[in-house]
Amino acid sequence: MKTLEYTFDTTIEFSGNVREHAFVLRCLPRAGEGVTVLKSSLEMEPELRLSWQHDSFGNELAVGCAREPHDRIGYHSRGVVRVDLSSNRAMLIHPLFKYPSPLTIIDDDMRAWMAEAGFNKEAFTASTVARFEAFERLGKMIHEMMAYEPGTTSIATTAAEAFAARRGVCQDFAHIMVAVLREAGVPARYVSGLVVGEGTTHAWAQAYVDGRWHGYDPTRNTRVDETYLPLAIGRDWSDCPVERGSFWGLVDQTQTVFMTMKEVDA
Amino acid sequence: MQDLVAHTARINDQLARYGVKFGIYKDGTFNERLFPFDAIARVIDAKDWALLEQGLAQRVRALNAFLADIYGPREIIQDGIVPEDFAISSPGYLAPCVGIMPPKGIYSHISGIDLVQARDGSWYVLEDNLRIPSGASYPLISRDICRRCSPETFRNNDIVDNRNYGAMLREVMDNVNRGGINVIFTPGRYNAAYFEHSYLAEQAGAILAEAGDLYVEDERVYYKSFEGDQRVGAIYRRVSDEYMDPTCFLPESVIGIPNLMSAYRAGNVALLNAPGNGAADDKGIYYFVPRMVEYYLDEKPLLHNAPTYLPMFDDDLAYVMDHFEDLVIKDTAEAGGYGVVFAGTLPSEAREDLRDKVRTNPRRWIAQEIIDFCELPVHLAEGDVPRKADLRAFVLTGRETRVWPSGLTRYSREEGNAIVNSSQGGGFKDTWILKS
Repeated sequence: MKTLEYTFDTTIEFSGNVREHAFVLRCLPRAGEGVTVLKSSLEMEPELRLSWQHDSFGNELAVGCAREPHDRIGYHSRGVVRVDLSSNRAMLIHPLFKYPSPLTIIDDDMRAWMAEAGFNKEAFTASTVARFEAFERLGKMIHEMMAYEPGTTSIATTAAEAFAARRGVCQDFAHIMVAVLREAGVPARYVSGLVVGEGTTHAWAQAYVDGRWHGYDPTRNTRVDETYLPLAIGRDWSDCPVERGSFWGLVDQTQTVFMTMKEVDA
Repeated sequence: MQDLVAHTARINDQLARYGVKFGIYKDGTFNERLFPFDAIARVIDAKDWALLEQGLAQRVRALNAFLADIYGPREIIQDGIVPEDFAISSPGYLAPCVGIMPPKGIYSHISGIDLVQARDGSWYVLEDNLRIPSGASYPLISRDICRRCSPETFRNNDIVDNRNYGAMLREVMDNVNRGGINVIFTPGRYNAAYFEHSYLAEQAGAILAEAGDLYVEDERVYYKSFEGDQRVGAIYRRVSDEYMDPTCFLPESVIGIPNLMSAYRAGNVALLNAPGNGAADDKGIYYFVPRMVEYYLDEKPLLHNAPTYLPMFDDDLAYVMDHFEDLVIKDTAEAGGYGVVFAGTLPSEAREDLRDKVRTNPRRWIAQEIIDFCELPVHLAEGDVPRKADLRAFVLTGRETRVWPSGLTRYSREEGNAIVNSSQGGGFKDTWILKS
């Protein structure tokens, strides 16, 4: 069990004024599956009224609209959570996580690679030990096969495209892992969130094994432990954007993201 | 009827004046053309209609129950009636709609069910349209003009009045309205059915609005007007799901209402029809509708499907391969009469090509027996000619599910052609329901 304190700041700057800027934010920790939210706040800049909702996957949403002209919008998420994976109880899943989603569609090259590496249905239906072994081996192989190269892929890159290029960022690594798991008959989720340290948001994959979700981080080649905090969970990145907005104005935008998370005494 | 038919030219002239048009996309360009009207009405007697009415209402009740189920507990899947992958990986099944219960649990408020009548008089359902079925305005306005051109026709025949469509639509909207005005939301005047949107708004006493007229604040929808902004309680939207809210569906949409889904999720506005209904009117899901009637309502289905085969099932695939030339092959990814092929009419090379496609990607296709459906007379200057015709019935779900006593009868332009969709260049007729 760990108690974590986080800060998560995002600023979007526009090259000119925009208005009627409607947005949906997924920048708050989700309670459940081992996470208890002890403290959580969200400050908007400029100050705006927000509505709080949950989406279909149970993610926390902050919904709002900045109508007046502005060339900058910021949101600052702060909080303290307790992560205790031993309290992660068995749960039923939605079958959506069994089937390919827009960004996790698989192709023949990936299938051939899976066959060669032995990631078939049998590998994931054998004994519990063997299943976890296959799960970790998959994450490790993706880690070793892929080059981490920011700027080579975009938010629209599919698992198959990143796989063909053998490079990408954490989002692509996670998409490939999710795609392979589903193809092998294992329900899988994409997770975006924070990891103890400093920098930007991270992404990893989860597999549904023995009634529980288990995470693996193919980018850092490690099992997901209590230093990871999910902010949004979905079929792939498109269900989990930290911010989705729509505004009037023909402008360029630059997004700056900075997060910190550290373990604190309970 | 003869007297009415004599007025054909005048009626079509009146329709043109009203701007009764239908837009079609063909080869990438948008063309608007008049929708030809044939004055010889389709006539359905009271006995036939009573069966249709019951069967259609039953079917729509089952489809509504199915939608509530697959976006909620998914019992029909757990009970093995509908295969899970079939329901959940359908392109019409929208993840953002999972777990949202629309006002009063109604998903399909305005359903357009397409039927044909076989030569032996029996009716078959060909397709359910639960997203944005269009066409109710055509028989409405043509009846209105016919009535004026030939009032005797309607005095001397015992025809059920169909002028209550606007009132029915209003009741359907009022029933789910969450407080505020009723709005018909159109993609704008370049849409194929813009004429209908404006006409129905007038008939139902609703405000016609497009993108920019509506906005969302604090989980509520408002209409901008000169007298101050008004709360909106129900939106009969004629914009398809993927364009409705750029913060939830396609981000590039400029014809939607940003953050609309937040108001819908909070239960503060009704959307007619509910987003996500494509999960139930998929050409493949059609196969299961009679089973839904038995499963949800514990009733025998009163209306039949055309005999249909799903190549994804081994037995069905074997049958389809053996009888390929005798079947209609439909691409579940297409709509509006596109992607419908009579395999027997294809040159052998194209047919084998299609056969391979069905074999390698069975989930994408359905196959149906060809129904030799009846022809109706169409009046031409040189005399009456027979044309294949279907019927789109409009089923409205408000406090109850009711069938509008009329409908859109569409006929094919060419002799023998059995595809009657208006986007394929056919015409339409009024549909008379007789009182006895």
